Amino acid sequence: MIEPEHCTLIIERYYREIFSYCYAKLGYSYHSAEDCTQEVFVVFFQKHEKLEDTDNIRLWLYRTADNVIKTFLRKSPPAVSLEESAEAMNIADSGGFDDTDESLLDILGPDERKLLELYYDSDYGQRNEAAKRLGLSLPALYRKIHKIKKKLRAAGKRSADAIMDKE
Amino acid sequence: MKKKAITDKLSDKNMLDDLQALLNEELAKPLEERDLDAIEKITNAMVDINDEEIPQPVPAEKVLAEAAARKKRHRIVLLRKWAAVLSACFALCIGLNFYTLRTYGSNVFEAMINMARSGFSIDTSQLRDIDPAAPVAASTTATTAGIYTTTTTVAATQVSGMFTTTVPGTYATAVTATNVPASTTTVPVPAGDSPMANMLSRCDEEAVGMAEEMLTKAETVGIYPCYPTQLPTDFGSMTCTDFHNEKLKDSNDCYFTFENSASKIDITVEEYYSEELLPNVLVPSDDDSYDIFRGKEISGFIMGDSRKCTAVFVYGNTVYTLHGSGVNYNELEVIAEGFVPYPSEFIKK
Repeated sequence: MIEPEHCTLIIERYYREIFSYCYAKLGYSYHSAEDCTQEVFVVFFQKHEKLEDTDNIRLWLYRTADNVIKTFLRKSPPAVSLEESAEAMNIADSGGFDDTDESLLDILGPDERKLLELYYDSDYGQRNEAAKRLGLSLPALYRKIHKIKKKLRAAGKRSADAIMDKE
Repeated sequence: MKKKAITDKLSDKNMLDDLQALLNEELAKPLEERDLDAIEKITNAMVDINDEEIPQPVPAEKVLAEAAARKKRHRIVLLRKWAAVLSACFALCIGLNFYTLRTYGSNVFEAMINMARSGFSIDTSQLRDIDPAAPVAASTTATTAGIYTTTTTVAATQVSGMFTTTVPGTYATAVTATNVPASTTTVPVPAGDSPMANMLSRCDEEAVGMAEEMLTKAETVGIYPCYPTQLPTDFGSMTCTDFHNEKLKDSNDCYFTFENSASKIDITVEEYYSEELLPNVLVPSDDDSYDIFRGKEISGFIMGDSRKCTAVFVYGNTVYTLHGSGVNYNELEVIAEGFVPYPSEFIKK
């Protein structure tokens, strides 16, 4: 049996991880992921008396998350395919660049430029290889690329605002 | 390259698609073989790329409270479910009880017990409702009055044409049994106007001996039974090889065994002290089939085959069971149909 104090530590340790998992499996629906994550831990608290410290709690939580997500999707199925959901498309499309400003890339450092170049000049397989050469995982590489793109978007927005102010 | 980066608004989606493909690769593996660290990295990147912030963990107290509330609700739901199931069972039992009472004359539990046993049971009180082939003579009624108070068991001796005297008393609950030496000679038909002679005058030649033995021996223990008036050919040679009496809490019973070299008939006479005490008779039978016979003045059930058969009938509060070995079905039917009641005017009060 897992002690209640230990349960608190388990929540703090795995809550974010399980949320991310639910978020990914639920088509990037934040609130659905939040509901399912809470459900996973409620189930955990309901059954913690039957679990042992020696059990693989992390694996147990993932398995429970799978079951909770299945139940959730059965009760409230998505109206459209998760991959084609407007929510996902909107998130991906948000913060476009102003393509009239060609000096934006100047704000990037050499490493950032190199990463961006690597990303756009290669396909999926090559990116994977490149990430390995850089000592990164593909998700880590993508996170860096995303940060650079965010930086470019912010700079582009500032530039557009400045032009508007001049006019 | 610069232009491509600036105009490629969907590149985030491409990254998400790549990550989703990676995640699917991991999820395709059996749960135990999945790389949970890799899954964590992939899903965290997905959250990050979507510019979402992972929420803070919910306080343990809140989760605990919700879990406790659910347990309580679950118990209530379970209780309701059980209550519904029990109510349904109760209603079913009432319905079944109603059905078995109407169909079998016994409640559902008795009916189940009877069904669980091999064979089948006969409600002897129902046997009384079967009309005989011939109307019952007015002078022959149930042998009830005054005969239940006998407790003294009198050792019977072979007395032809005479009644022995019984001593009135109160019931004894303990069982008393009297074994009577069996007669080995054929009893002659008594002459004159004595009650015995009167009763035996109704018997055919074959049945006289058996009837007289039954009447004589039964009277010694205070029972005035129905007696046979007809026997198939060759059954006249049967003699009483055993007789004993038991006074039980609910009944006064007599057991007769008549036999000759080829056949044997056991006759059990159970005189119950009241109608309510009449029991069900359990008849062990491989095939649960029986016929109704209608005799001169009594009727009942008969079942069996060419080697062994049993007839059961009720007169008044007395249950008669005739069991034949080496007696075929038709022969026992003849014997059973020939039973007539003890004339009420001859019963000693």
